[in-house]
Amino acid sequence: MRIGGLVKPGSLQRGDNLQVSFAVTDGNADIAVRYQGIVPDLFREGQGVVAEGKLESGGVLAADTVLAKHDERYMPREVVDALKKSGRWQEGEAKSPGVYRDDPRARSLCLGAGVGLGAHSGHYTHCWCPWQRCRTDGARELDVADAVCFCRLGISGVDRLLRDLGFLGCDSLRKCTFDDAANLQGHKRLGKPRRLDALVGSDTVLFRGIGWRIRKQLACNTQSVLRIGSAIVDRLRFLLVHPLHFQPFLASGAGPFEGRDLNPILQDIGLAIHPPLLYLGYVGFSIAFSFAIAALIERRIDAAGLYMLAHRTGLTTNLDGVVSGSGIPWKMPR
Amino acid sequence: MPWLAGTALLHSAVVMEKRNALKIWTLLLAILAFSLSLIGTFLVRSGVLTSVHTFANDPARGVFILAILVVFIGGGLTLFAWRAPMLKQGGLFAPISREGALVLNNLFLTTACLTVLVGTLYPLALEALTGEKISVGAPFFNLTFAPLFIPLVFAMPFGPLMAWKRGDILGVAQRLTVAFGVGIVAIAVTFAATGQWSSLAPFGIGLGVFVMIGAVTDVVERVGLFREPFSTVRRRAIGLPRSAWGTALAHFGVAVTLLGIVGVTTWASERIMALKPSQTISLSGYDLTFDGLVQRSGPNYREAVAKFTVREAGVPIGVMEPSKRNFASRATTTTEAALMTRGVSQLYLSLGDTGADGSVSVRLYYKPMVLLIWLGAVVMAMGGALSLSDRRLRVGAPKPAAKPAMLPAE
Repeated sequence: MRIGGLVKPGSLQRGDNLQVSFAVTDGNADIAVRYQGIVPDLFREGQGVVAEGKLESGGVLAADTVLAKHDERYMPREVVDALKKSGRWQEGEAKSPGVYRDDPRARSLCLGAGVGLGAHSGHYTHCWCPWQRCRTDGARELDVADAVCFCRLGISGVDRLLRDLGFLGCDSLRKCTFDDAANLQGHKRLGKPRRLDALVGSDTVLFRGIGWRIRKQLACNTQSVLRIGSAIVDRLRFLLVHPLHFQPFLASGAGPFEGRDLNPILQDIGLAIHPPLLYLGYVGFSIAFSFAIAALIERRIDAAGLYMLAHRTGLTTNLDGVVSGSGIPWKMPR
Repeated sequence: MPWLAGTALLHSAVVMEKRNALKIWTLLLAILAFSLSLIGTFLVRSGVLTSVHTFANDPARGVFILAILVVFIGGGLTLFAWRAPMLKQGGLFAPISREGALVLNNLFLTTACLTVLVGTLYPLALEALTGEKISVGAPFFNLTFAPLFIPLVFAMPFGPLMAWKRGDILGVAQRLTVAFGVGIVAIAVTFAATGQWSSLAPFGIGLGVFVMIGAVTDVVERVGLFREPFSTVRRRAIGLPRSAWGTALAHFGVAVTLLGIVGVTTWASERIMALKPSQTISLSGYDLTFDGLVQRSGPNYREAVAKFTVREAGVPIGVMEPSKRNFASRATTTTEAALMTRGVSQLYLSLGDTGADGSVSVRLYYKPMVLLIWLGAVVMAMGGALSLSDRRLRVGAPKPAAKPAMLPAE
């Protein structure tokens, strides 16, 4: 039997010898499950789970497999259906915590930050973004997703921003901690962005005077010309200075947000190489496909060509088998 | 599915190239192979199915992919229906012949492909039509795949030895006597060593060895080893088209993989245990002593590493360090299993929860012969590469004037 639902909060009990028992619930009815072994990393109370096993006489499922979500966004279909049926499903639930992706505000700010703010250190109240025109008094409006975006872009000054916004020591991802942000940004590790700050600081004064000319274009709600000017200058400074002094592997040591990008599981070469190989194989098939279509249109067949292409795809098939196969067993133990 | 269809395509293309037969079928397979990879994309990315690969699913994207499907598959098959009858069919052949063997291969592979298709789509169709939910899992595929693949693999050594157009199955069987013999010996030896019939493992091993020797026999027969003087053998070996070497190598690789699969499914063992420091877990002759837990930090994670000393018969042979990594920014924990290779077998060690008293729960797997699965695939890939380098396929290579008379009819 295969059951899906949520692990009922408060029901999880661990016994000796890796015995685990918990209840799976859809909000209305529960089924007790017992299992011996190691539960998955993402197995938690209140989270989605799928258990496979035999139903025993007492209504207890003796599970031989327990599967939890494979990453934060994944919800087994059975679980979704069960929750929908019991009316506990909220649309978009499975999508959390992709705040920065789903929230247009965050996205535009992110892009804006990328274009305009660059090496912003002290003027984060003047965030200019091409999509939303202007977010002047935005310090309080910035949520952490935005801040994380800054981090992601390796923009300095984010530490201060985060501290001001009061996100020190928050625990969930949405409220990422200052430490994490700083770690991400690479401040603690490398200390390079600081140098960049010092470098661009002097240019700011120089460019500040031209600010007023651009005020109308910006049509922003700002407090002073000078401040707009400085925002613009920051942007210019980013464009002018950043490319010159930008050290792609050091200054922006942040690294992509989710680890070395992608799912952490894909960080092993054995697994990371299988998607490109798969795509290679699929592209190979598209060539054989094109050949077939050409043959049908022309009403004749170049046998040797098709043979060669078929072989080429076959080669990728095998390579892919090796790689995807060899990666999975030790990267994804249950 | 695309890989099964692609393998069928690979083989039917041989018939088309050599004998000018099976043209329409080959074209259909080429269309199907690509269509199936598109269907796979659709199933996984649209959110219709939930699989390990369902990362970026999105119903809107699904509709888009569906539109692509209509254009490519619909267009391709329409063109096929319209134009295929106009293609001239070539070469006739008897059922027992090289072509016949390749057709057999195609039938098995496409049936296997269809089986997967049904297994995947039937639950969806059922749910759409009746609202009833069923899940099709491993039991279905185990039941349906073995009966398809055992005969396919058994027939594999026969194919290349068969003559084109009209083959002589008795003659081929005669040439495979050695392979049969060695296969039966392998069955007997496996049985004697393990003493179990129940799992059919000895037969699996026997089948693998039979195919392996069969692939060798193919080359031996072609170059006339043991029959002709050495100089002739050498000349023939050089003259033998690379595609023939490729075939033999690829088939050999299939056998190697088969051996690995049989070994792992039959003799794999695993053990789960909670360990305190300096306690030992033993499995299949290996003793792993837990030395303690160490904290480390990586570029963007912190990890708890459990150190284990591995001993075989009391002799230390290495250290295994499974770990739990915690990616703080993503609030994700991953398990980094440790593995140790012994010959073609491997030990996997993965870490479970850590207890308050410094104990860890671990899961230890012993996977005998598992490397053969991947090695077999490497050998297959080498076979593919070798036949790709065949002289005929080189761009601009002049056509050979005439085939050497010594070769069996190609």
